[in-house]
Amino acid sequence: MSRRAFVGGALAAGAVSIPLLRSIGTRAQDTTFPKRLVVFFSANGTAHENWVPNGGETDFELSRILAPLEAFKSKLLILDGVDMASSDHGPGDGHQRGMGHMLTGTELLEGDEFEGGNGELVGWGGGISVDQFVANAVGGDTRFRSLELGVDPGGANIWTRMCYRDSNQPVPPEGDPRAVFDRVFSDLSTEDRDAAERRRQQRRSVLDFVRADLGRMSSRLPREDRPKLDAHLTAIRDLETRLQAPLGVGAACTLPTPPGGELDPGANDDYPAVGRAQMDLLVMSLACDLTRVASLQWSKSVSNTTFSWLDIPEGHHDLSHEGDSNGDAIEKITRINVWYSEQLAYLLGRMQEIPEGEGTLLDNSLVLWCNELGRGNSHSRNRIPWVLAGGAGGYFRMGRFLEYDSAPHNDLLVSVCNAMGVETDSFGNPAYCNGPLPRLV
Amino acid sequence: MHRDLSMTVLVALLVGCVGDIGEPRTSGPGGRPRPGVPGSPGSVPDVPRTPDGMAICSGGPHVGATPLRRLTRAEYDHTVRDLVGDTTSPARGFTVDETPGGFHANTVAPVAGLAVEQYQTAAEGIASRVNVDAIVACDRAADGEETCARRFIERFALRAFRRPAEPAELTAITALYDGARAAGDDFATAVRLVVEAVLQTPSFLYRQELGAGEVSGTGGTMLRLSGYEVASRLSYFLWQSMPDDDLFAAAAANELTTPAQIEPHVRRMLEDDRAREAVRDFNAQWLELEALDSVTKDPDVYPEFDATLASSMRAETERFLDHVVWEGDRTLRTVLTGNFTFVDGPLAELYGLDAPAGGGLVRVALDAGERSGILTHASLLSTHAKTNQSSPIHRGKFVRERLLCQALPAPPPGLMVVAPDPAPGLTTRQRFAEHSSNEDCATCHRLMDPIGFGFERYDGIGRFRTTDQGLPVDDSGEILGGTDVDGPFRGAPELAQRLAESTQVSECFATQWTRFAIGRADGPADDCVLADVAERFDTAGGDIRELIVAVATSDAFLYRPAYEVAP
Repeated sequence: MSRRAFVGGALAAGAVSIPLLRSIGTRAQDTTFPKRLVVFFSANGTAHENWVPNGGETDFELSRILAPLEAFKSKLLILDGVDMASSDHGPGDGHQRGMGHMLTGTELLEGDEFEGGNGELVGWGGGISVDQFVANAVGGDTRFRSLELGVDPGGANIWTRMCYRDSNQPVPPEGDPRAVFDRVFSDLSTEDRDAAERRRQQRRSVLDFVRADLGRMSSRLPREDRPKLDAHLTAIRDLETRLQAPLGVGAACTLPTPPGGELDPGANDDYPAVGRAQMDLLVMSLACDLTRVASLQWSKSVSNTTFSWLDIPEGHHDLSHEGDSNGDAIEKITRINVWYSEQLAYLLGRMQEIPEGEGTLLDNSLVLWCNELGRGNSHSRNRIPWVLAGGAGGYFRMGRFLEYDSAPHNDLLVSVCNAMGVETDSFGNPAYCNGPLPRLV
Repeated sequence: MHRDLSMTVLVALLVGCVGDIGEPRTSGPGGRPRPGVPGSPGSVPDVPRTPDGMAICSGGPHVGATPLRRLTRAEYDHTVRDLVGDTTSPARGFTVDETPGGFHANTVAPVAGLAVEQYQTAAEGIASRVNVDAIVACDRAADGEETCARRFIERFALRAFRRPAEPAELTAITALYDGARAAGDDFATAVRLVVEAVLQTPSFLYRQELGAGEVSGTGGTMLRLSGYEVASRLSYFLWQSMPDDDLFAAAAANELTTPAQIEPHVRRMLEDDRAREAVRDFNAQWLELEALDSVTKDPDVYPEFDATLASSMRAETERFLDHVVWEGDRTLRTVLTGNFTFVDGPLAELYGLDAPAGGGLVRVALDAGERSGILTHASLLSTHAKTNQSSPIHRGKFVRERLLCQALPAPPPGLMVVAPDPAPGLTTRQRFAEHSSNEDCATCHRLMDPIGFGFERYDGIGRFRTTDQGLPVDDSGEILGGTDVDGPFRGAPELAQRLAESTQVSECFATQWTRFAIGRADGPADDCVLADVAERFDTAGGDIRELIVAVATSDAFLYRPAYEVAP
């Protein structure tokens, strides 16, 4: 049966349990479950006064913006006063720096060969991002080292990329849920095993051939082009590894329903539906243990999404540049952030539905809600509205509101690594890092 | 020849307008500061210069960086169309292209893993769809399968790699084919496997430009590009696709080594429909027309704006530019000042014109006082506006960046960058007066806003208006900052006339086409090429097709800098 026919069949049947190639029970009966990291991005800063919780470390009330997360209050860590200190350094405009420093904690690259825009001469981000760093450590056993999903993430430039595999190596998010489905889940069909096995053999021989060809080519190319072929070779090796990787495991792993064909991933008004489809796919890719590191990038820095479904006719970025005395604009910015909070609540809810041993997928995950700015109209990258959610396998003490006095966000990135079992006491440029962020554990 | 860096004054001014981006530095033709980036990828020796910074272009060919280019999505789609007849546009879903220099080109970042996976999926799909008999084009009954297979492999590799395959490459492809046959695959399946594999090789996915013989100049050693490399340069520039048989034949005969040999090919290629598509793509990227596919407007303010009207707007600009280049007088002057355009029903209504008969775009004359040229097209006026009002900033910024090639600095850190509060009874212009009263804002905004104010007769969707908030519109504007057309003006048509007389605008347009061709932002090492192209454009009276010929026959298409091979 062809892939297309299988997908069609699944559509008719709705979500079906996957007859897994490796025994379903193996991991399900284990007492330990893998930890997962999920990065959740929204843009343009927030209205801090409507974001910051009221009260003390444990006896706090969620703010209006965070109120949709009430059901998960015991699984949140809300961090106020963590600044993107690294982004006071290096080239780039406010949004560029925010986006490029957010997960890397280091300066953007200089570069007169690449016009970063707005008059500043910048290159891509200058270091590995925390999600990719973690993925390098924990992603080797899964079919996908990491998955990057987006919702209308825009073109390929310094404003639209937050994940970096290395300096100068942006990782693009996939913005089309149908493409995500095809990529991540279509091979889970167990129909026609002989054909699938022959296909695997062919792929292996093609990848062998391509790898050899890359070797021939790199021996004659200019030195400065070498990193391009090295990255290509790494990608080919990843594909080869994937051919050997087991297909999904995980007790609650079910084939998700393919996203509807009527969705237009580039259409403003399909933004909520595309986002929901991406979240469904993201959760199931974690539940099936197809990956342990995933990110969901809502739009991009300088997002000018029009929240027409909230009856807000102005673009998000335009609104973010209204003055603080413009009550109407602050109200709209607040409502936009409430909406994002609702989306996070949906994601957390889906993760909580997946049982894993005594707990749930959410308990074994760390979700990081991040933003490239603290506030839009000043391009401030202080007091970034960081929210951690989930259980991180018990690493952090959740259910708290923590206030810091200008802590550098590199410290938070260190703590994210540590929570995921990746030992390090520094992340990004060490000049802006003191070690793990205090008081989290 | 000395390159006159006429923009130094403006650069000093721009640098001053932020204050913290360092000492004024040598500028390029576009007035962009040019910080050297030692050791950065693609860094190449600068052109020799006079003590006052002028480029000396008489010391032999000198071209800028030539980074390895990965096919763009458009190039991939067109190439598989011309290579194996696949018209399904498989690259449409690929990761989006980089835009260094403002135009699609994958020259900076290495390929992402996702993209390599997409190449795999696309190659499998193309191979499964390919018409084996057509691409093999060999009588297997008469000549035998093995002979047909060998011939196919050699010819297919040549066309896919855009150069003759090396013996080791042919051996590897043949081994793949033989392996498939040995595993029991039939002839067609083995051929498909070859297609699938070759489409994933770096020689197909990247445009290798290794160069042939060395040419020494006073500014460093350059390499002459091989005939096959020149053939690909031409085909990907003019057609966004692989070379055709004529180009391959010329490359094989070593007949693509001088501008005189290249020029007839350029003119021949410009007659092909594929060139029209490439020029249209340049225009769309230059003017960022793609933004019309997703622009939204406040339905309470602009109830008539919808996807249909937006697509009419895009069609108008594309049709107008097609007309100028292919049917009209081909000049940049007409692009900027043409007193005609093309409208359909919805646009005619927006423009206050009689609805044309029939459904398509119809040429109409314009009232020169109201509209002329692209600056007054509803497309650009809509994408350079807010959802519920015009935006003098965005319109002024567009003129600075896209027509004058001047990059504007970012706001200084910590500056509150706020739009003035809405105030009933004040026009947009009056509200934005804050920018000139607040000194922090004014230093930079004086370069944008006074130009943008000249567009105030067009609302947020490009409709002509004489009042704003019930008050008469003041569309007086001014170009400041040391351009060659500084001074006050009234209204966009007069601004367009002024820009059409500007040498800087003409140079900038030539620079934009060069960026499009070389796939990156220009740097100091490109100054001689840019000067040559701009001069030839000027000599040709601003003829855009001659500009394209000038780019394609410039040193940028004949040479690359020398390099060290990776150890």
